[in-house]
Amino acid sequence: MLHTKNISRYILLVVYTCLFIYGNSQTQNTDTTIIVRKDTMCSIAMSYTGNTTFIGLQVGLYIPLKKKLHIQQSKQYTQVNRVVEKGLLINAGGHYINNYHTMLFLTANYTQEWLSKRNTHLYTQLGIGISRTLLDEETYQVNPNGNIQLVKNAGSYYAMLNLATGVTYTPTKIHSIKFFGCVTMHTYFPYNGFVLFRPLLNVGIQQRINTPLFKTRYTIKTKALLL
Amino acid sequence: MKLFIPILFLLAILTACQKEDITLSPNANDIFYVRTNGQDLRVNVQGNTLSGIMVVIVHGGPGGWSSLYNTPEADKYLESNYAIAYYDQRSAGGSQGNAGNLSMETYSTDLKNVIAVLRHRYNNAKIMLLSHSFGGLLTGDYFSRFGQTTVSGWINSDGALNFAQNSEFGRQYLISYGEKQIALGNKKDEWTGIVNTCKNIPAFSTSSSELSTINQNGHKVEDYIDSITNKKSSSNSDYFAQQNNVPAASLYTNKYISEHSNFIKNEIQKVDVLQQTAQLTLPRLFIYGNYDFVCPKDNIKAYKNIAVYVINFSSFVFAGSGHSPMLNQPEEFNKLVAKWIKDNL
Repeated sequence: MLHTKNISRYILLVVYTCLFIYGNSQTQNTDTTIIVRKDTMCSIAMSYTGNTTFIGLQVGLYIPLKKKLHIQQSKQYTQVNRVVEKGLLINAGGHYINNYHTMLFLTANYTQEWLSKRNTHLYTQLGIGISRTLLDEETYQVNPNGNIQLVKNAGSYYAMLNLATGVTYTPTKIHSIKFFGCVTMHTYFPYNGFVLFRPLLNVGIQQRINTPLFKTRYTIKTKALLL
Repeated sequence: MKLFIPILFLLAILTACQKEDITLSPNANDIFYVRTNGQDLRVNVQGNTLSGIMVVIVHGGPGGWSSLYNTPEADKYLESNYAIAYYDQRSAGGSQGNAGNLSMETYSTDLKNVIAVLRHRYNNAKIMLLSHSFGGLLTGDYFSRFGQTTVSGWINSDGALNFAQNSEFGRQYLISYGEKQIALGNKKDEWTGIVNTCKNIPAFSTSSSELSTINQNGHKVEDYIDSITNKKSSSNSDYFAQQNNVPAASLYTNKYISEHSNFIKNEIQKVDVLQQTAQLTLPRLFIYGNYDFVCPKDNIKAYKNIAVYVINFSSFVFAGSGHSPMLNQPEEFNKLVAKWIKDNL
């Protein structure tokens, strides 16, 4: 028996079912459009990571974990108001500071992206990782017996904690790629018994694996969500 | 794309390969690191490495940085004749790593290792130590631990040798000079506050907060004194970062760590190397600023009173300087240092 209080659950179920069956890329109500990816493909990302005084590169693998639809209901219609995509981004990269060091790092980041009704979306990342510095100049060490020797590959290991926030942009006609830009705060520890903060700018491009660049089709199923 | 990460790592390793890059020239500019007690100390040698004379900058702080002393006047008068080693102490400037706890012993051991590496790299160059402020305390501690055999001369600019006594000199100078300014009506309100604060601090206090108050007021009052020329901020980190490719974030982090260390809170107040440095026989030049309230010129008298060998000891007070004569009167300072080195080597 269908109770009134259960209606919302059924509406939700219908909405999910519609999305699943039709594999919507986009949903639309009368005046808005939300892009919802049909599939959950992994992506590879490449980006510049540095700031105004030093440069760096990083590459990553993005694995989508979960997609959550936020649904708004009224008497006339039900619409997907917002889509939140959560994923895992594994990055490897480094940056180089002349006469100072090369910093290599490997990070695992939990990402959350709020897909909006436009092509531009907000996202945040929280990550952990490990880094290794390689000093840019020769390094000497004085042994206890007083002899002096060069240290090969001198540098230090640090644990990392990262926080990033930024925007992504998905071109209207090429949904398999995504441009992104964010400000990132890398923290390295233990650094002299404390934490070293390093603000970075991260600008790059993300490409879905196994998805042809220009052949991805997205269909608009406006009525599918209108109940 | 799969090859990108290995290529990146390979490039990094290749560019970081350690090979000696020693320049013996009238215009050298070498950067290298000295690994000691968990820290990689950054050393930048500039100037005339052919001269066989290496002036090692032992900067102030703790938490300062050596290139602050790399002024155009230092280039002109010192680097043209001698090699200058700008080395950053642990948790300071461009040094990096994971140093652990700071202590006077590790600071001095670092200096010993830096001197050893400099002599190794530059054909046993004669070492002159040019210390400033905390660097004076550190250099004195170095001499008391390791002796003077590897060093040919010591220029101590505005350095403390007995921390507690030096702070007391500062407190007394702030009170006496402040009272004169109040009587003259110069910055009366500001000086009144400072004088009252200093009077409330007991003589020869060992409280870190009270000593810190004296130190802060000593720096602060330089703004009230028009006679101090060319006032430059000692926290000109942007200049440092630009000149030396050290990220400002690293610089500030190092500075913060040093200034909030247990060493600052608990150990530095007890350091007294006055008696030990009084035994030195090597040539010494003590330079102070007339308006230095952080490390007052009274330190000269205190040293002279107990110095065993005064025949090769000289001192100079710069009339228009505060705590940093190398910045307040850079022309006169570097000329004096260059001449003194020439006369004493």
